[in-house]
Amino acid sequence: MSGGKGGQTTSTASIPQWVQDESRENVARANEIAQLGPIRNYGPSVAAFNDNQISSFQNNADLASAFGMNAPADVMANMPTAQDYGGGVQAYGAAPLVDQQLASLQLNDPNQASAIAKQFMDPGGGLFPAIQSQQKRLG
Amino acid sequence: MANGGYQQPMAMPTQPLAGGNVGQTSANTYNTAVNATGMGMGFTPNQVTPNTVAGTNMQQYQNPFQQQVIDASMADMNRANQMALNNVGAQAQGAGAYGGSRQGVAEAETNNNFARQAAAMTAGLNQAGYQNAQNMAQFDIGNNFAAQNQNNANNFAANQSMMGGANQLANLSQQGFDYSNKINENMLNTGNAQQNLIQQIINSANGQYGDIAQYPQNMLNLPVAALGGAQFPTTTTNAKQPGLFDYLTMATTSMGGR
Repeated sequence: MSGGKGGQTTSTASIPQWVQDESRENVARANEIAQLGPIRNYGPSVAAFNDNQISSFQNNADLASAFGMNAPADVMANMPTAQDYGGGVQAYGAAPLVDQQLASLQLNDPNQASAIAKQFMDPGGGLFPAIQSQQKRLG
Repeated sequence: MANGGYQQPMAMPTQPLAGGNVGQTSANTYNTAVNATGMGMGFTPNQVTPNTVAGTNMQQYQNPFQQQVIDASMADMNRANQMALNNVGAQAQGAGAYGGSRQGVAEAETNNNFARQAAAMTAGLNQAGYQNAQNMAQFDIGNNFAAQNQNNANNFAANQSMMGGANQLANLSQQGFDYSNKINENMLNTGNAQQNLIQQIINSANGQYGDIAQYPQNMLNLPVAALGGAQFPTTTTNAKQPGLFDYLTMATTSMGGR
């Protein structure tokens, strides 16, 4: 006959081997994906002004000029040139500005730029031009 | 003659009102309306200055042949006087008193009558001539006064007409300005709708592109999601630690067994 005070019970959940294998594989895949780095978007960001809008702008300026007020002769002067992205889409893309910002980061804070660049693969093909050059220099 | 001519109160616009577009036309019309209103507000009637007989040179109204008329009348009267004197002489001669004192008295009386009649005739002709000149002068003064008043009335009417035209131009300018703005607003709204449509296309494309670019990262969640509902087997282990009662029981059992 047994029993008495002072006994202890422990429950242990055991993870099946196949689950452990899948988890390891997922982590490995995550590390691989992390090497991809950020994916740039070279597509359009903002739709450009169209002919109706530009004509309206110009008409407004011409009306002001007719009444003797100052008005630009070309309302689209100093505006960036829209790009043709195909399919009739005239738009502005943010990619050139991002390039500019990356180049500025490389110029002003090269250590941070190289530290960022080391976190992922060389994208190749001209992506991240400033950081890519840093990667090649370090490599 | 003072203030006799009609004055054009409004200068014609130097540029055509109708411009290349409704906005330019509105601006041209507006400027013309402003100028015309300014001119109209500056209108002042000419002062009417009536002429007077006293201030009129009457010589210009005198009959230039008046002296000739007087001279001719005087000559006629002189001839009549000669004839009368001849009659006096003939009568004296018939009475055998030619050259006598009575003839002298009679001739003196004849000459005296001639002189009075000549003076009366001359005075009458001069009076008539002056009266006629005065009448003509007064007629001209009246005409001039009426002409001055009529010119002022015409100028005032023309100014009123110009102010009315300026008001109409102002309305047309406002109308053109409203047309221009409305058309421009419609055009801008059309353009905005088109741009919005393009922006929606861009947003949709960027959304799809983002899904593709983020696919590797999102893919990692698939195994986790698949394992989320799995039930793992649990192994339970009981480990008993002996107590005081257990030791006493064990000792009693041992002694009983001797």
